[in-house]
This record gives sequence, C-alpha cells and structure tokens, in this order.
Amino acid sequence: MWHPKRLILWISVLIVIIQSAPAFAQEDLFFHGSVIEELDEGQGTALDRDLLMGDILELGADLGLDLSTSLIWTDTRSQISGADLKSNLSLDARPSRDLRLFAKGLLTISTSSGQDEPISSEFRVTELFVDSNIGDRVFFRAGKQTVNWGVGYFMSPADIINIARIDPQNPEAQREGPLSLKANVPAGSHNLYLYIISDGSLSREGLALAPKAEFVLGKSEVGVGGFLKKDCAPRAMVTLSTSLGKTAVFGEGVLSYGSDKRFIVYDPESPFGIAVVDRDDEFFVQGTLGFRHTFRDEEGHFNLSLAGQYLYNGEGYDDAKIISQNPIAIGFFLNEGSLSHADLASPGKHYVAASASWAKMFRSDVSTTAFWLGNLSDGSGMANLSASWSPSTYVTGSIGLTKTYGGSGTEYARYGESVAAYARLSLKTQGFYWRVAR
Amino acid sequence: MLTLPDARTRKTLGLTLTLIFTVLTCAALGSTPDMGRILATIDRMGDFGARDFSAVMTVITEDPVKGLEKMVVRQFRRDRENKFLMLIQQPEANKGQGYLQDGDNLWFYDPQSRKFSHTSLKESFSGTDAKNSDFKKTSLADDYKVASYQQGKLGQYDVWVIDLEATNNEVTYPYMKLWVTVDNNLVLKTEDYSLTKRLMRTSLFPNYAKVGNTYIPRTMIFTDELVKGKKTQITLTEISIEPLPNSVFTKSYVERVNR
Repeated sequence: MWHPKRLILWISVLIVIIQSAPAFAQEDLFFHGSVIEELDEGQGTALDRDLLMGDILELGADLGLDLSTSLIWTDTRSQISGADLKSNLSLDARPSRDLRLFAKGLLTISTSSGQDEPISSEFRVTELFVDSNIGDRVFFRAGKQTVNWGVGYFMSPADIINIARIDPQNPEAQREGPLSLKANVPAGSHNLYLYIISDGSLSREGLALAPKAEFVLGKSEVGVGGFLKKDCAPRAMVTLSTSLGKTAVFGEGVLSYGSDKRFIVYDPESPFGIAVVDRDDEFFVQGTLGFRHTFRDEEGHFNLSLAGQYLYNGEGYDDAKIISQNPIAIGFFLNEGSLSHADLASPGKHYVAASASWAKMFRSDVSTTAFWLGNLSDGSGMANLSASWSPSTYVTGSIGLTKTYGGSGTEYARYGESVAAYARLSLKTQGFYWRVAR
Repeated sequence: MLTLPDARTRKTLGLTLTLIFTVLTCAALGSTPDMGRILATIDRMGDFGARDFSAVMTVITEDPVKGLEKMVVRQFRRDRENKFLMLIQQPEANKGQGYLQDGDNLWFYDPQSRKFSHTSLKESFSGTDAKNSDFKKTSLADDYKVASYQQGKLGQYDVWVIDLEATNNEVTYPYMKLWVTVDNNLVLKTEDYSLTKRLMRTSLFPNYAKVGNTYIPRTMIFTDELVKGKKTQITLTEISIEPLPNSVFTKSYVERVNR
C-alpha cells in the first residue's frame, strides 16, 4: 500500500524529471559529433552580384479590394459608400549588373455613391526609372522616382521635391516623386547627392538643382542641402535623425529667401479690405522636431508605438482669421487667378501631430490607433480613433471615428465641424511574379 | 594500539591536505582561468577582421499562434568597419526590407515607402526571436564584466558557465549567462536576462563553421522564454569570405537591389 508521504515524494520526483526534460533535450544537441565544421577558405562566392544580376526580367502584380462606408454628420447627415479595386503592376529588367530599368504603376477602378459617374478608372505611373553607375562609385537613377528628402514623419517642410506631400494619417505610404536625375556618391559612411529635377519640361526654367550631403556623426545622421530653381525662392535646409535610447528623434530646419506662395494682407485701400501680395525679399524660417518610440512589454501584450511632431511654419499667418473671415474676397481672388489653392495650403504658423497605436493588443489580431493633427494658429484640427482586425496578412477589417473641429472657414473645419464614422474591409492577394531567368 | 595524533598535528594535516587538494584542482584545470581573456578570445574568434563575410540565412520561426514561418535573408558583414547589411529575400511580403548597420547607426529600409529610418540594435529582427545585435560581431569583453563563473558540463563538453553583467546601457540584455567550452572557447549556449533578472531568451549554438581562423555559428536556436512554444532557428548556408565591393554597405545598394 502507498504511503501518502511516499506518493508525494514520487510525484515530486516525476515533476522534477518532467521539468528538466527540455534541459536534456537541449543537451542532446551537444552529445553527438563535433560542434565545428571546417570550411575551405576558398569555397563559396560573394553573394552581392546575384542580387543585382538575378533574373533578367521580373513582372509582378498584386490585387486589392477596399470596401468602405462612411456616415458623416455636419449640419445634416449623409452617407457615402464605395469600393476600390486596386492593382500594382511592376516591371524590373536587369540586362547587366550596371543597368536596370524599373517601372511601377497603379490601376484603380472605383465606384462610389458620392460620384457622378457610377464607375471610374485610372492608371497612374508611380515610378519609371533607370539605374546605372560609373565604376561602382557614382550611382545614377534617372526618371520618375520617389526622392528621400527630409526626415519629418507627419510633416516635412524640407521636402518640397516630391510631388505628393506626406499624408499625416498614413505617413509611411509611398509618395509620388518627380521626374529627376539623381547622382549619389557614397563617401565612407557619408553620402553626397545631386538631384536635377524637372517639372515636365527640359528648359532652364523647368529645371531645379538640389544638392545634399548626409554625414554620419556618432549616433546621428545630419543632412545639409539646398534647392535652386529659376523664379523660385532659393532654400537651404538641414536635417537631423538620431536616437536617444530606443527613441528615434528627428528634426528639420529650412531657410528660404522669399516664398513661392502669395500672401493675403489687410489693405484698407482695397474694396475687400484685403489684398494679395508677393513677399520675395524676406527670409522665411521653417522648423520641425519630433520623435518616435516603440515599447513592447516582455510578454508581447503591449506593443505600443508613440509618435509626436511640432512644426513651426514661417510661411504661415500670424492671424489666420484673415482667411476664415474673408471667404468672399478669397473666392474672388481664386476666380481671377491672383491666388491659387496652393497659396492657401498650411496657413497656420504652429502645427502639432501625434499618434499612439497599440498593435496586436494582448497578442490578438486587434490593433487600435489614436491620431491627432492640430493647427494651433486657427484652433482647428482633426482627431481620429480607429480599431482594426487582421486575422491574416490578406484580410483587414477596420472601424473608426473622425472628428474635425474649429470655427467655420478654418483649415480643418472649412465648412463647419463634422463627425464621421466609417467601416472598411480590405482584401488583398500576395504579389504574383513571373520571372525570366538569366 | 592505534593512537590519534594530537590536535595541533591534526590541524597541520588538515591544512596540508586542503593545500594538496587545491593544488591538484588547479593543476587539473590548468590554472585559475582569466575570464576577461576568455571573453576577449570569444570576440576575436568571431571577428572576420580584414575579411568580408556573406551568407544566406534561413530563419524558421515557430509561433504557437501563427504557426511556422520561413524567412530567407542575405547577410553581409564587414567587421573591420563595424558594418553589416541584412536583406530579406523571402517571404514576398517582406522582400526588399533591409537593415544597414554602420557603427552605432542602424537604418531600416522599407521598400513600400522607399524610406530609410533609424532603428535600434536592441529591436527584434523582423518580428523573430533574434535581435538585430545578434548579427554583428560580438564585443563581450567591452560590454560586460564577469560577475561569477563555475565549471560545468553541457552534453559531452566541459564548459565554463559565466555570469555577465553589462557595463553600459547600449547592450540588448543587461545580464547574460554563457556556456563556453573549456578547450576552445566556443559559446554553446546563452541565457539572456532583463534588468529585473528575468530570463528572456535562451540561445543555443550547436554547430559552428570555421572559416580561416574565424568561427561563426552555423545553427542558432533562440527560445522565447516568455511566450511558451515560441522559438526561432537560424541556419547559415552559402558561407563566403570572398571580398565584397565597398558599395554593398551603402544605401544606394539597398535601393538598387530592390524591386
């Protein structure tokens, strides 16, 4: 008969054996054979070449479908529903190690309850360039390309080169770049760049010159650059990206002589009381500072990302009410062409953007994000709360609430404050690739 | 009749036996080991020095929720300039993502946005149990001091089990425990601890490749000690120490190889 004490002893021994089983399993790896395998020094070839000379041609395509519906409350309630079918198409040809042609386009077919036409379609070339080099020392990229210029996350005053501005709500999306020739000379850890940018024409008036140098100093990277174009304000810029512990810190400063914008000023002699003027003989300063920080707890339950950024916009208005309080006059100036919509963009002097996201909450497929963008000068802004569910790489469902606030005519509440609730379902395929081997 | 020696004689005899035992133990071990020197030797043995290094890494991650995931990565190292480049080749969804290290700086390249962003060596490598710092040459002698050590056994190998404490905040783990072979200073196993001395990760290095005078783990097994059942196995193939062009360790190269 088993004595209780003996039973407890045997159970304890069994537990110890079970608990130490993984240790035995680990040690098994070190019981058999030699731990060292000697390789011939001459064996193997460096693996850098075949990345540049892999397949001679690769054609790729992916497909995505976004279904969305939004309820918007302003003075009245409205509903917009739509569907977007999107396909990225790409071509990558590498006839030799030193020559490459790349093209990428986006085909979009849309239908929306808010559009006049039931179905619209668009094909847009997003990238089309040729890569080459001289002696593996000077690297060229010529054609339509996204330009790495500026380090700001939500806003980048230094980046006046790319055609599309950063979307603060989707700051990591690829932006449409200009037609340009990039020359890059790596110098140790540092990089020198020269961009020749075209606005579509190859005349002297249509070309801009933008040199930039990036220096690695300790744990930081400092960029210094300039932008020169006939009939445009010359600009000098400095950028900084560094890290403080696990926090990434970035900053930009821009100095321009004159501005490419036209400005509205009070003018008692004008019938509207305001007038449009150029300010070509003044210096303007813009600057931004921000951070990004990620935190993950030991168990992976709290996977948090925080980002914040402040922007000082020297080309903004001290008193942004000059725009919101004069809608009739501004409409007149827009109609007669003395003012453009680009002149009215970013009218504030002080902006703040921030986001906090909690990815894969408690190791689930659910993520949440809070986002805020504010124009501190006119007191307007927008805030967004969203939650998404992504059970696989190919399916994402999301819901969200967006509120704009501020007085009527302000930057983010031009037609008054609004609240929008939305739901979205995104389906996408993985990329399909067809390759021609060398 | 047998008589016991007096107390003074017994004390002398005891001291003599202790001395003999200590001398014999030291003789058996060679001599008192210099642990700082062992750490420096580990660093030196894993340093490719004037040579470049490239390999293909196959990363298999076993996750209790996601199941098995496979990743193929090209690795390039130039230890003399403290640089490395990791380029993800598979899966297609991550293809083109790259990690470029230059001294204290590490950039992550996202082919979707075509942007480089500063990141940290302490971060996980692409969501696996490996850290970005696992792929650079080690600097144990500079980053850690020996807190204690003892002799032990791991499988068939006599090992030193060495407890380390970080000497700076730049390291990924503030505390580590190493199992190092006594005869040739190879690290077979490590345990990595948090600041609160909680076991975070166990790493096993059951297979090394010796290329010239340099040793590189050919198989690495990282077990996440906080998420039961999660582990990552990395296997190196196509190892080469052929010279690489300077241009490999540049942003330009990362952009050129991307689609």
